Amino acid sequence: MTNSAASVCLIFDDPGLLENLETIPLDRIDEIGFGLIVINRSGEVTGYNASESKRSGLAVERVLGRNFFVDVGPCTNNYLVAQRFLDCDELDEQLDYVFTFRMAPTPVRLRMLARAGSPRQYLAVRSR
Amino acid sequence: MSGDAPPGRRDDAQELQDLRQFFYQCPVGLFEIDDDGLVYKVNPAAVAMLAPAIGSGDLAKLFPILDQLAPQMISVISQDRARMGPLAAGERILIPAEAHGVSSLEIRAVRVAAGRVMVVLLDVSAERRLAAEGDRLFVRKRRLMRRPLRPGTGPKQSPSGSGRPGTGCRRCRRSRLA
Repeated sequence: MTNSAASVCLIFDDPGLLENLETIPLDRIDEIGFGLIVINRSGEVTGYNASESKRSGLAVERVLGRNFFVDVGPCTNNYLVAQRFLDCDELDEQLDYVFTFRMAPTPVRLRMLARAGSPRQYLAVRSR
Repeated sequence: MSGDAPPGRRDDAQELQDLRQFFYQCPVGLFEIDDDGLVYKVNPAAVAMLAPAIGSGDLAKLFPILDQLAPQMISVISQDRARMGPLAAGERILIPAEAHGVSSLEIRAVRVAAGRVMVVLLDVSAERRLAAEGDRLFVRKRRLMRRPLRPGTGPKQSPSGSGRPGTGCRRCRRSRLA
């Protein structure tokens, strides 16, 4: 990002979302209007934005560095989500899902994103 | 964090976060529902186990899911609403787990208070796989035992035909000795 002062305006359904996410530094993901979880290729959380933290009730510092599929969002630890990240080097898929924010069932739309060769993978979360 | 908690004792906010994390990471699926199946609480393990059946649904009510998987559980929960404690001993259900497989779940229901039912899901796929493997081994062993022996490969036949060389039943041996 050359223009660090510009606000981050990303749209969940934007076909170019992955390209845009790849250029955003992790210290600016709080400016994104939907939930965003950034994980590395081992599944460890490297970014957890304010929107997601507010909805889940989990403080960012409690989440960073932990395995997302095991410790943070075990509801996604199945073939529909976690396995997709394992199987696909490159990924851009959407899925209706149910999260358990604050122990209550919450219908969400997930967008799973990964670019071949990138160390980052993304799970974008929007209410539905 | 209030900071009013006595030393060595966690305050309420910390306890709530710890309890939430405990509930989040519990490997057993847990639901809290009312007598009509309305979901109040659910943990991630329950969602991960039932995700293929939930599809694009919202999980606001559990009964539409149970209707596909274990319809008799609905009547167990919704009838006799005064009954407390365990409502069902544990029923096995099969659910798609991956592209070409199924997982086996055990489902139980416990009424913890009037209008509050805990539904518990256990993944018993490993137990089912082990039982199936045991069955396969048993069938294989039985087939091997039934297979006729090739000449010269089995134990030497005794004259008495008992199968053990040089032995026979005691009565026959006694008559031979006489």
